[in-house]
Amino acid sequence: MDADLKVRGILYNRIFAVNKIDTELLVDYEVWNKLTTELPADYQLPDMAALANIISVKE
Amino acid sequence: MKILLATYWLIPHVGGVWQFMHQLKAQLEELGHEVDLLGNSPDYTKFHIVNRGLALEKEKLLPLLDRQLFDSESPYFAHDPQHVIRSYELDRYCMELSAAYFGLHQYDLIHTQDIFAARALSRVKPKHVPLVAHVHGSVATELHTSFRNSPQMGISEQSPEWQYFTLMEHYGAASADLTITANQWQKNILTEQFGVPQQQVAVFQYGLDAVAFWQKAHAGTTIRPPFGKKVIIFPARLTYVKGINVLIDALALLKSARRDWVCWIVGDGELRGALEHQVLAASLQHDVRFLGQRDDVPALLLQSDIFVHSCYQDNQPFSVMEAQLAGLPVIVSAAGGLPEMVEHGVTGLISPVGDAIMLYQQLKILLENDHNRKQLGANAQAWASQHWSMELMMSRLLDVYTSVQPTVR
Repeated sequence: MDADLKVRGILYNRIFAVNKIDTELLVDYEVWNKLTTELPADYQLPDMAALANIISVKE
Repeated sequence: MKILLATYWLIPHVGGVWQFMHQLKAQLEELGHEVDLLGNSPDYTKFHIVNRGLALEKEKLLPLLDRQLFDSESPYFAHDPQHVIRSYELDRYCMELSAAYFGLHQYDLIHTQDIFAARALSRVKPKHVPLVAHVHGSVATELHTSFRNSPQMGISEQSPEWQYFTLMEHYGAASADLTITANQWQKNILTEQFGVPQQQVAVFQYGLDAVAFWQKAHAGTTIRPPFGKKVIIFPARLTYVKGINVLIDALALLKSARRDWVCWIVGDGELRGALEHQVLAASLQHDVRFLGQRDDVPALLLQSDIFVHSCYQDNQPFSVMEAQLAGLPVIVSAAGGLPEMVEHGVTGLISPVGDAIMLYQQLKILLENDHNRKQLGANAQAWASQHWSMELMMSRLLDVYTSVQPTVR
């Protein structure tokens, strides 16, 4: 496995509550793959449970 | 047990949180536990488990987080023109993802040291791993005060930035299985101002490693008081909140009444130049010495006669605990948790916040009456050796650790 392997960020879309961006951004595969494996299944960004009063989803 | 002590703040650091974590790690390891320390790196570029040399650079995380959550194409909206919320949130999410990257399944218990770490770790830990949250101060109160004192920022009580810290204080302190504060004052802030349930918060005081304190005290210091002078000592970071300006105002009054004293201000900080200027303007330059940051504070306390902490706000400062253990009468302001540390007229004296005249009168009383001053100091020492016992704190903490363990099914 190439330690510097980059993959498209959209592979990790499941942790973002809303995905409207078809980003071409590349991220570090080893880091993002490992951390998403460790995250709880219901983990989401941003922390809307705490911040719904001040962060809203754009129409 | 394998325990993770975690903070959103910088580690290592000169502040009290790091001192607490470092001390707690040593105590827990003596009892046979294994302890890791997670926090922000001193240069803010990564989160790291500092004792194991593990780190994750934030640059590996930030581009995707920023693009998905906060840039102009993000699906989310937060009115935050100065990027206050964006800055704190990005760093919190870096902490969450870093903690997941390091792996939290290996721990039997997580013990966080601030509201951001508590909220962050509560979101990414495995469900079966208990979370204990220590709250050492009120981030929201400090930030709200800062916004109030900086009207040019345009942040009022209705602003999202203001509400953000209110929400974080609540959700941070309420996200753990149990939250600990060092005094009733801090608990009251959480429950009355930030809506944290009463039963969520346990109160017990910090402990002081008396053996380490006396080792340092007896190691001595090269600093000696001038012959025939009593020493008034104030060890603190030289920042506004510590109220050192109040002591200097009081000393200017004291000088007109008595000359049998000197004052040692021990510590450094952003206000040093301004405080030196205040001393000069009051013609106190031969009476007040700025000793800077020093490692021999316990030994300096043994050379001193009166300890002062005239701050505007504080929780449960180690400096007051050390002064009491050293047998000094302490004069503290009635700010924050300080009145819970001193019995007025028995172990020390309490003056109103910012009241230089009352502080002057109390200094004069203690300088005039050697017997009274020494009696207060002896009372403080006897009380401190029991109340600030490290064994007592560890016993209570281990009870908390046990109480939050999942029951065996």
